[in-house]
Amino acid sequence: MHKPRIIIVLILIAVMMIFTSCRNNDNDYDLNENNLDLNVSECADKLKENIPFEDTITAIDDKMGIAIYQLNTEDVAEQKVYVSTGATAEQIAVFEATDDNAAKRIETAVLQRITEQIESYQDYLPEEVPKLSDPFLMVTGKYVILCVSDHNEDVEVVLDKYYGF
Amino acid sequence: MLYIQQKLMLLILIITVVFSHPNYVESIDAENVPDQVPSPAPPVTKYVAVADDYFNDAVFIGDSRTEGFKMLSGPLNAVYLTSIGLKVDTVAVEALSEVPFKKVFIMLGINELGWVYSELFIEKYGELIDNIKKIEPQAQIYIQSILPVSRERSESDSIYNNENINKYNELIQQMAVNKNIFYLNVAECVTDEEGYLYSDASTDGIHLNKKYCDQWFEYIKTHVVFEQ
Repeated sequence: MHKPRIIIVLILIAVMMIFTSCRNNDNDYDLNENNLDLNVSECADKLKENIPFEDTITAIDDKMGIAIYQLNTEDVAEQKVYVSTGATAEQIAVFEATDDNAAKRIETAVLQRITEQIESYQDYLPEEVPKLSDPFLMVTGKYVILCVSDHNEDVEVVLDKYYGF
Repeated sequence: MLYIQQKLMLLILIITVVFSHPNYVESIDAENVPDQVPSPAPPVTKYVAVADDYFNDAVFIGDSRTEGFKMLSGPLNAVYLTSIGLKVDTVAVEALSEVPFKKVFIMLGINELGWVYSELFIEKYGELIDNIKKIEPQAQIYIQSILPVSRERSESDSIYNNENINKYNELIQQMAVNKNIFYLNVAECVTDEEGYLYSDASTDGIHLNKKYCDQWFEYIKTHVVFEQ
């Protein structure tokens, strides 16, 4: 007599597992890195709109974005970069690389710039060094997302909310 | 004797009367003053606005303010020798040997406002100019005035205030005369009626946002070339 109950319970558990593994959210992106399709510009804009930056941050020309991070043009398919006035080290940079290897090169270049900025701000504005020392930097597939602010947790919330990261 | 004296006096009197006649003496009054040659009006410099490509052979040298200018508004094809905290004695001017250039735009000074001796600042600035001239003797060099800071910054900061900036700008302007180079008073395009950086130009009172970097660039474009 217990056997049917056990079977029913197992079926119920299986059904629950199936339902909880599927999210009912239209905004979700496939977490499979190979299928990720991120709108780079929109992502950067969402970060700008939802993170409480101290300074005014402004989107810059793509050519300038390539220049300040010293990237290879061939590595970048899409980008959007926001910079501050110089009053702080805050910045947003979202890149779609041409492939995963290019994304790694972009990540290296971004980290190099951060290192140089730490050196510059050390004497100039030392209070900016902590946020540079702990930047939000994510590489997922061919996408690179950088955000320098005092609000890394908020960045995670934004990316989770809109993109399911 | 008396008769001769009388004749002499009469003669003197006649001579006096004759030469006192208006026909012989121009009366000195304003109406008869011959028209003075009018002084020529001071020449009005007429500038010719240039396009962005005018700066394709330009170098911009500066500190964090110029770094911001570079990223937000500056000409994309220019060369920039900029860095946060840059000073007159830390410019890697030898890097200019590697790039062709015909024009140089420099803004330095805000990071040196705290120097004990302003004379040292001008001395080092002068050395920088001389070194640039050695690398490219034909380059047109434009020294830009140091931009002002906001009222809030100026009134609360013992170093980064407009009194110090104005003092340095006077020294810079004189140096430009002495070195026979151009002095670009870019400060005037971002200065309000009371001599402060516009209140909406910056979050920290020092670094300009895009709107005002655009104004800065616009000033440069409209003040570097003038009609001959």
